[in-house]
Amino acid sequence: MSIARYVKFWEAAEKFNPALRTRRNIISAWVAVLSAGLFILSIAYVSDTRHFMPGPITMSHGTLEQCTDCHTNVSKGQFGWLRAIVAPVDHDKDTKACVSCHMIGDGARNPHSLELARLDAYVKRAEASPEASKRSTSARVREAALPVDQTFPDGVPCATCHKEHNGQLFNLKSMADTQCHTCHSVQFNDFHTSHPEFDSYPFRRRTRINFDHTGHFKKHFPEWRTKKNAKQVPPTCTNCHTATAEVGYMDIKPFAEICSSCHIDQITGKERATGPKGITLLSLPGLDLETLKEKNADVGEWPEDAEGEISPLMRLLIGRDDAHRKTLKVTDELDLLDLTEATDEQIAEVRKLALEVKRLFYALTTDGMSDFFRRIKSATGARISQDLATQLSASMPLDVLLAAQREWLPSLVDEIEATPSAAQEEKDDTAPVFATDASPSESADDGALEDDASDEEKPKPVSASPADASANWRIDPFGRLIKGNQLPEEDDEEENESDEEAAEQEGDDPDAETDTADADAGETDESSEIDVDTEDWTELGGWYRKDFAILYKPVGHADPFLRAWLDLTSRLYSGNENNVAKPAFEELTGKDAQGQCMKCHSVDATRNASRLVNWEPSSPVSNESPFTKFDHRPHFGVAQKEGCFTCHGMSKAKGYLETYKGNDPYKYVPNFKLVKKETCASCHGKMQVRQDCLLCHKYHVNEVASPVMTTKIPQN
Amino acid sequence: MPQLVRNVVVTVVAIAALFWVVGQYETALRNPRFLDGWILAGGMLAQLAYHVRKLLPALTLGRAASWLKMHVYVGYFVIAAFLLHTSFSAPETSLEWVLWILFVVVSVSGVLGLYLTRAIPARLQHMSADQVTFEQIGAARAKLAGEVDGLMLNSVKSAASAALSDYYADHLYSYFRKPRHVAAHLVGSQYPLQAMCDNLDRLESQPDTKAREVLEKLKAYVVAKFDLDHQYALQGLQHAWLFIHIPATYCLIAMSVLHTMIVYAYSSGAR
Repeated sequence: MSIARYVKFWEAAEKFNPALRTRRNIISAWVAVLSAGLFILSIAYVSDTRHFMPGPITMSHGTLEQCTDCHTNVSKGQFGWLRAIVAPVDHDKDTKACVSCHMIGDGARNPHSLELARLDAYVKRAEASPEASKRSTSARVREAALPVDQTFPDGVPCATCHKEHNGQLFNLKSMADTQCHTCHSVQFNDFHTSHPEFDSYPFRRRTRINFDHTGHFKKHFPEWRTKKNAKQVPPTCTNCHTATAEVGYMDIKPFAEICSSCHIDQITGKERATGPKGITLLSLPGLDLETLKEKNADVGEWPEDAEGEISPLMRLLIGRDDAHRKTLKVTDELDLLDLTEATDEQIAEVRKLALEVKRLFYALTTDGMSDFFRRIKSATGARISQDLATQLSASMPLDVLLAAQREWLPSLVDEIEATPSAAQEEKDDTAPVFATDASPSESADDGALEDDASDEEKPKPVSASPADASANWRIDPFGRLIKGNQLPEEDDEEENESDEEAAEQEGDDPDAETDTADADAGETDESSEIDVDTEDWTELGGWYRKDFAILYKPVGHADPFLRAWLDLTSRLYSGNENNVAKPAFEELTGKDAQGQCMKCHSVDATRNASRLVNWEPSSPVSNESPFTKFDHRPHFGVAQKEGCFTCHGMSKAKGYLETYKGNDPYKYVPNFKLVKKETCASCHGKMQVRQDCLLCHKYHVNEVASPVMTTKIPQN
Repeated sequence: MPQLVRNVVVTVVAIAALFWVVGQYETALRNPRFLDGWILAGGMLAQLAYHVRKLLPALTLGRAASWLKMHVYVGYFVIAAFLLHTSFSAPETSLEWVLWILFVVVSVSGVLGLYLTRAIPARLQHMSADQVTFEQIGAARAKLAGEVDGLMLNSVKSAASAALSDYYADHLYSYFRKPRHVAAHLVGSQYPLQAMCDNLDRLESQPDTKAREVLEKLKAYVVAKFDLDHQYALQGLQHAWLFIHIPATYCLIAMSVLHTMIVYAYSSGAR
């Protein structure tokens, strides 16, 4: 409207001659009422509520159709929002709307999404810091006037920081440094001028993989260069380290690529000069049989040449309850090869140990690996999964066990079947452990273990002699454990043979057994024995038997058997001297342990005094400084001159390897110097490179995951 | 310290304090838009108080001049609060645009009005010798028209100049009855007056001396009417901006109430 026309309107209005002010007020009131009415009508009839938003929502939320998808306290309908004006806001409900897509764990509303106990620990540590007293006046005033914990007693809702309706391209993750200052009230203006110096970045702890860079750079690599295989010495850091796609961590290439050429023989035992190259799982301990006999402590059949000890892994299988652990403890104090000084009580425990060893062999032979895992479960209380079971047994073949049993304890089956159960034995310590003159068992069943209640009640007679018993049990061509030594003569008579064998197992024809035994004995005498060193034969790793032990030789790096046993025993480890896992773990992690796993894989003590074997190097998952992030990749282009040494200068401090002798990962001497703040500040801040808090720090320490689609499989 | 400087300093300090408080509020994880929104609403209500004061002159709540000063400086503060509330950015949706435009109209009309209330009286004083109030302009114009009518009737009776009376009837009769050349007066142009005077000068060629006298008188009346129109235009403008400022204020307050209701209805997680 032009001024002239407006004046005309005014002049016309003057004809009515009301006061000018009154006219203005009437017009104003009408304009206000009309505009408000128009607005209310538009709310009622305009279906697109985007017109009333404070701004467009981000593209990533663009598929949300209803305001009520996020504003959970608003009822549906054109005027549903009216009730919400006075309705209390349910922050939990709002947060659920967010975390239904952005899964962040239980503590979504906790500061940093951390468990409160962990957060408290951080807060206490920060408050104990001398820096805590350097809070600014404004921070003190703000904390007094606007205490955050009172504003958000139940945690911080997502929308407090992630503010929507700021445009389609708005970055909801962007945060101002001031938002960090809410809690981090010891403030600084920017990184390059006032950020605190780094105290121990990037090494808050020793590296999980024990790799002595200094030793390799100064000693091993020069030595190798002088040898033929100088090409195996990596010329650059990136021959071993590579930038990963996730979070820019420098990853370590696999063992097979960078370590194997020099270190594989240490794992497989080729470089071992002394001691067995395999790990003893089962062994027959040497016993002072003469003294035992003198003291009328019958242990039954026992090889006189056995000289070894019970292996730590076997102790775990034997020490499955308090009674057996007591037996192990008592016998540990004895020299089992010289029991002349032993008391009657100690002799009784030795006898129990011998019986338990036999029971173990018997159970493993007849019941397969089920007993093996029952024992581990009983001894440790640990749940053994199918995968772990497979790895712990390394698929030990029955032949190895049977061969050992036949050679070391040929009368084992009959002895055990004629022996009172463990429970019965506990009740009657004076009862003879092994019968010596019983006839072959007529009721010897199919190898039931000592847990069988009927066995407990009725001790069974044992076979006439160890030699006979030896002849009674064998593996048939189909791998089945059968009683009787007569081999099937022809394949087409297999069925008949099976019947005969079944009959023999029932003891129907003792003459036949004797005949077969004789025949077998004759065959053995006639055949030529192959003289082979079983340890050397098992060059590629696996099970073998040597002397009176069954051993396993690692097949290579990341051997599943070793890893499984280390994981199991480390988890169950404790400083308690009765801890059955402790000897096994110490055996597997000792300086001369087979496999030499601990040469590279460090062992950390955990809070509950168990142990943690670090199989993997540091990663975003294992990162113990979850608040800090660093992406190597953008820095490659600006550090060409000195490369990695621009930030990671070699340290001259000595004692890197020493720190791995202990189990405290926080007592360490790094190979590299700590990164200094000025190294970063030389670009960040001074050269217009970002220096905000979120460049290097994370707020949500737990990764925010997206839900996987739940797509139902078609029914038809 | 001069009063103007004192008022400006107080206003600047208040604005600085507003920014600091809102910053601290945001740092304390509160939504600062709620705080500066309520400060803005409070400021707007304070501005409205001046209007109420004018509506109720019987109430002796301080001098009107003091109220006006308060209205002006609080107005500057409210503009700062508005900029903070809108994050110094233009809106993106319909309702926000309505609110934004209304506030801008109110603010700009207010600032312009303040300028006009200062500039126009000085300009009138400089240009017009005989000032009349806006309410008296109509009567003065009617009086002037009556006098001119009388002059021209007498000239017709004395048959001084038929050409002059014809010219008056055709071109000047309506001129003396309505405000004319408002736009030219607003921009300070003398062109219409010059044009009218030139036309009258062309009539001076008449030999009749009496007619020339009438012509001179008529020119004086034309100048007087032009001066009256000048006052009318400027004083009208001085009053006219309030016809924008006040209705827009009413509308803004009504829409702000609705805005507040919507904000609180959809305030989940943001308080």
